[in-house]
This record gives sequence, C-alpha cells and structure tokens, in this order.
Amino acid sequence: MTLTPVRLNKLTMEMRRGILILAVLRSLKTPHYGYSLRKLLAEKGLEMDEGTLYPLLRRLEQQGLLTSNWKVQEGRRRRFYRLGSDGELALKQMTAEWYKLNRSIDQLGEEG
Amino acid sequence: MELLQRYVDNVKTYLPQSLREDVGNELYSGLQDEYDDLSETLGRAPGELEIAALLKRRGHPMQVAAAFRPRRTQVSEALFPLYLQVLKWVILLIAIVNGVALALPLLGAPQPDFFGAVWRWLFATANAALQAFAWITLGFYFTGESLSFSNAFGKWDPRSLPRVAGGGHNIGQFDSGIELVAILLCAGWLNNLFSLVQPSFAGIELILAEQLRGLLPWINIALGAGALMAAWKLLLPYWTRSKILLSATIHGYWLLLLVLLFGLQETFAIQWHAAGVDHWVLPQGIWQAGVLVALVLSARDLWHDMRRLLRARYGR
Repeated sequence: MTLTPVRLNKLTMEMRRGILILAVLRSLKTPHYGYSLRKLLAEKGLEMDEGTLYPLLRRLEQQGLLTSNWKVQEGRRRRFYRLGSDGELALKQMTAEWYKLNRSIDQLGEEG
Repeated sequence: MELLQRYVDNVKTYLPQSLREDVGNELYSGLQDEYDDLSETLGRAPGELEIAALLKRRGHPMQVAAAFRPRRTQVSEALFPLYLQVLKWVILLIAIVNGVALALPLLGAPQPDFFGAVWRWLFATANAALQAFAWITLGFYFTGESLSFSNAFGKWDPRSLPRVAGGGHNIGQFDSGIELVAILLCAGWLNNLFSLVQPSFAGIELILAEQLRGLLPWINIALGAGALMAAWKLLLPYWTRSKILLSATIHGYWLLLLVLLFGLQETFAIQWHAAGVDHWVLPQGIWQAGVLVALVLSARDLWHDMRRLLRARYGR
C-alpha cells in the first residue's frame, strides 16, 4: 500500500487530535473566546478549523475542564472560556505525559 | 451580514433545542469577528461572494451542526465483536432450523420440489435473519446505553481463555452447519421421526432389519455425539485440545461401528403402497460399498484429528 498524501494527512491529523486538547488547555490559562483562541493557536503554528475548535471547547466544558461565560467586548457578545479547576489538574498531568512522550520519542531517534 | 444570519439560522435548525440559541449566538459572534478581519484585510466591506466563500469554508450547516452532537452508534465499539458473534450464531441457527423445517415435508412429498424448497429456504432465512438483525441491534443499542465495556468484560480471567490449537485457524462454519443438518436428518430418518411430523409420508415406510435395529442405540449415540460436536464447532469455530480429542473419539467410535455395520447381511427395506404393497430390499453389495466410503471418510477424519492433536502438543 502506497502512502498517499490523503493517508499521510489522516495519520498526521490522528496524531494532532490528542495534542490539540493539550494546546487548548494550555492556551486557556488566560480567558479567550473562540475566534481569539483560534488566532492565538494559528500564530503559534497550530492551525485548527472552527468545525473542530468550537465543538472541542464545548466538549471540554461538558467534561468540567473548562468554564465559560458570556461577556460584551467591543460592543459584541462573546463567550469566554477559561481553565476550570479540573482542567488545571488535567493540564498538569497531560503536560507531564507530553514531556515523557517527547523524551521517549527522542530516545527512539529521529529516524526511528 | 444578512447572509451570516441566514447561515446561523440554518445551522440552528439542525441543532437540538437545548443547544440552539447558545451555539447559534457563539457561531454568529465568531462569524462577525471573521467578517471584521476580512474587511480589514480587504480595506473595504466584503461583497456577497466573499462572504459566501467564507461560509463555504465553514462547511454546510448540517455538517457544522453535526460536529456539536455526540457521535451515536447503534452498537458501541466495545460491544461490537460480541454483537457480531451473537448475530452470526443466531443467523446460523435460523438457517439450520429453517433448513430442517423445510426438508421434513420434502422427504414425505410424492414429487418433491427441491428448487422451490431451496428458494423458500433462502427467502424464509433472509426474512428471519433481517428480523433477528433488527432485534439484536436494538437489544445491543439498549444494552450499550446501560452496560459499559468494563461491565461486559470486567470479570474475564486470562487463565480461563481456551487454548486455541492450530494457530487459530477457524473451522468452516458452513461445513459445520451442513454436518449438523445432515446428522439431524439422518437421525430423524433412521428413528422414523419424520412419520410423526408427516404421517402420510407418501405411503413410503422404512423397515429396518433385525440386525440393524439391534445396532440402532449405538448408532444413535454416535449421531447424538456428532450433532453435539457439530453444534459446538458451529458456535465456537476453533480447535482446542479437548475438541480435537472428542472429535477423534467420535471418529474412532464411528470406525468401530462401521466395521460392525459392514458385516451386516440384512439392513433395511423400503415399502410403499402405490398400487398394492411393494418393497425394495437394499442389496448387500450397495450397503457395503456405502459403508466402505463412510469408513474411508471416518479414517481420514481420524487421521486429521491425530495430526491436529500432535501439532497442538508439539507446537505448530
């Protein structure tokens, strides 16, 4: 089976999926609304389409990792998200796991 | 802006009531931000085409709404292998029961319509299988809601897993199904059970000779054990040591029985009442040829069992 660009993209997306949660939790140490969060992530090199980001924010809120509230800013109503207490704990554990994984992958060598 | 509102209103129609306003407001707010960014980049208010392109990038309203709903499946991923196994068992059982139910009247019919029977069997099996599929899926859907993965498989013990022999090669379930049906039909015929279901039986009667009738209890033991073995292979289609041993025992038993059967001088006769009473006695030569074929097949199966047993004992 040849590695087509579509398959390669799918593999990359699969790997990114778990990391995006960590990225969102890390970014929401300071409150953000959906669009500003998306821009922030894009600036850091983590492009994420709205169809993924907004439902993810809702899901994390339902799981109690995030809290949200509506605020009026620049004359516009916006929903701001921030890290909840469970989210802080999850972030701590996920960050530790991330470093551990990074070290393991590094030890396996760049070429595998 | 009218296009943005229209888009949001459309997304809302695909959302559940509880999410409609909240998600709609957030979506609209995000779209306004994007619109502002686009205006800034263009240095003017975006035209209808540019707004349409922006919305198109977001995706169809149904697609956007779907992302906010949990992905529901009829059968949870964890229970899916069990679901497939149950489905397979039930459909096989339906096929066998239907096969036997349709074969019985066929044996008693004066002019049996084999083609019609096969057609009826296919139709009845497909019909019942579809119903079984619907009920089993429904059962698993409700079970999946209340039963978690850990509940379903939490109590398993690795030590109680079967020792699968032959490198996990499966036993053909079609073959086992045919074997089971053939054994049941043979047992029914020898024990004259069909006359209970179909009393007329086209005036045909099977008359067993005294010698064969004397061996009937022993033949029934072999047929009963064979039927149980076939059902076991059908439900759990892999070889284990105990299954191979039992199979070898049954084949060995058949060999002994067939040696005895080979020596019979009188076996059975068929009597019918078409125009007066007439009968046909099975010639000993045909009987012995048939028994010889059965002997060769049983010896071959016993040989396969022994090889499987050796492989299971001394590795693959």
